[in-house]
Parts: sequence; C-alpha cells; structure tokens
Amino acid sequence: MFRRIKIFFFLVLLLLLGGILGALWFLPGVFSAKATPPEWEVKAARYIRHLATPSHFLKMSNPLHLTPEVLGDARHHFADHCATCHANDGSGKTAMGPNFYPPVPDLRDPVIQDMTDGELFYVIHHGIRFTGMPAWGKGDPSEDTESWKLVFFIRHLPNITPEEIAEMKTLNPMTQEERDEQAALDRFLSGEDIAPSPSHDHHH
Amino acid sequence: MKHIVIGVIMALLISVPAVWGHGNASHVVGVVLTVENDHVVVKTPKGDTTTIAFNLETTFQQNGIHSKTARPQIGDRLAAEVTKKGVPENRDWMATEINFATPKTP
Repeated sequence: MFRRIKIFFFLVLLLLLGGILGALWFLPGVFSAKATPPEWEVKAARYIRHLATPSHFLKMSNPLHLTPEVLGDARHHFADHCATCHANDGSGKTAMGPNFYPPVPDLRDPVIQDMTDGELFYVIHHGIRFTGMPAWGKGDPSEDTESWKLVFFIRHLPNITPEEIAEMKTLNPMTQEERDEQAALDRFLSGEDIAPSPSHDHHH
Repeated sequence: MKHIVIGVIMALLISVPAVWGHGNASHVVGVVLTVENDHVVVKTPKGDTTTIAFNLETTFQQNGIHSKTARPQIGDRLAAEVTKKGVPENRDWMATEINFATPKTP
C-alpha cells in the first residue's frame, strides 16, 4: 500500500516536471529579459526583499554627516560606478537599464525614496539576488562608508541639478569617441552653433 | 551595370539627412520649430527641416535630467537619438530618446 502511494506521488511529480519543461519548451520568450514584470511580481519581489533585510538595518539611519564634500564624493562615485545602469539622474534610462529583468528602477520614485537609509545601504552593500544589482560592499558593513555616502546621494536624486549632471558626464566611463560625441551634443544644446561632420553632411 | 551600382550608391548617400551615427544609434540635432502630440519639427544646423516622431517608448531629457512629463517647446535646442524603425507615415525619424534644452537668454 505504502509502495503504491510512493509510486503515485513519484508519477505526479514526473508529470509536474514534464509539464513545466513542456511549458518552457513551447512558450517562447519565457526566459526573455525583454518581458515586463507584472505588477504583482514587482510588489511580491519588493516585499520579499524587504522581509529579507535584517531588522537592525531597516531601523538604521545614515551614521555619516551630510556635507558638500560627502555629497560630492558620492556624486563622483555614482557617476563612475553606478550611472552605467542607473543613469546620472537615477532614472535607470540607460542602454542597459530597461533591458534587465527586472528593469533598473527609477531611484527617484517614492517607492525607492520611502526605503529607510539602512535598507538602501543593505541593497548597495549586499546587492539583490536574481537581479542585475551587484553586491558592491567589501568587508564589514560597519566599515563601508562609501555605501553610506551613496545613500545620501540617492536621497538627493529628486533634486539633482543640470550642473551636477554636467559634472557627472565628465566622470562617466566612456571611450574617447563617445566622450567627444557627447561633448559636441552638449555644446549644441547649450547654444553653441556647430555643424555636423562633413562626412555626414547630407541634405534631406 | 557598374554605372547602375554607382548610381544607386550615390543616390543612397545623398538621401540621408544630417545625422550623426555611433554604434547602432544616430542623432539628429536642431532647433524646435513646431511641437505636436506625436512629433516635432526641427531645423538642423545645415538649415534643413526634419520631422522626428515620438511615442510612449521615447524617453525625454530636459537639461540632462530624465523627465516623464517635460516636453520640448518651440525655440528649444534638441538632440534626438533616432531610428528608421517604426517611423510613421510622413515622418522622417522615430526618436528613442529626445534631449532638449531651452537656450539661456543673453
């Protein structure tokens, strides 16, 4: 009798596994990162991440003092390490940002700004599993002042100025060709009259 | 046959507007002449006019900051990352990103 029950459950398990593998085979794009996560999945994932954050981090406030130097350090660090995915303004609108699954969030959104300082720190130091967010922290979290500085900068993002963005652009990792092209576009946008390269000088 | 090939290549070369390219993206720059719900018309540094369409997927940056609501106005300077993919009828380009800035008054 017991043996029959075991065989029955084994067969049910096999059918379930076969069903899952069949679905993956026949449903194209199931593993594509181009899909948009449904709202329920986003909420569930955020809630699980919140639950997984140790409670003492949830209650922590930034132990550093905010000064212009601290914010400047954080701005430089963000431009060099974070903006490739998050964009200089935290919007996540980069070449890679929208193409992750889940996509890179807009750090200016209230749902991010409502996270506690400790929660933001924990994400930066430990990363988020199954996403594109790496664990940037090295060593003991209590010695990771760089991540605490970045928490100040994330809080500042809704109020970032065009001047700060312009400074960050000079610090973003780019090839010289990309830097030259960006500089030309920025000069045009700031009011300088420039002509396109002669090799592209075609009339419409 | 050789003349036909040369002629086709020349025709293609002179039919492309003032566009900068890098990697897979091209840029069109100009001063905004008109703004509609789904496109802008800009005057390029060469003096040509070109129509750039945008849709819900297009992202907008004003003075380097991404905004969900800001839109270019007449007289603004604009640099758009554009593609020929999905261009609506009567438009020249489809923008994937539009950067714009209001010129500072002297």
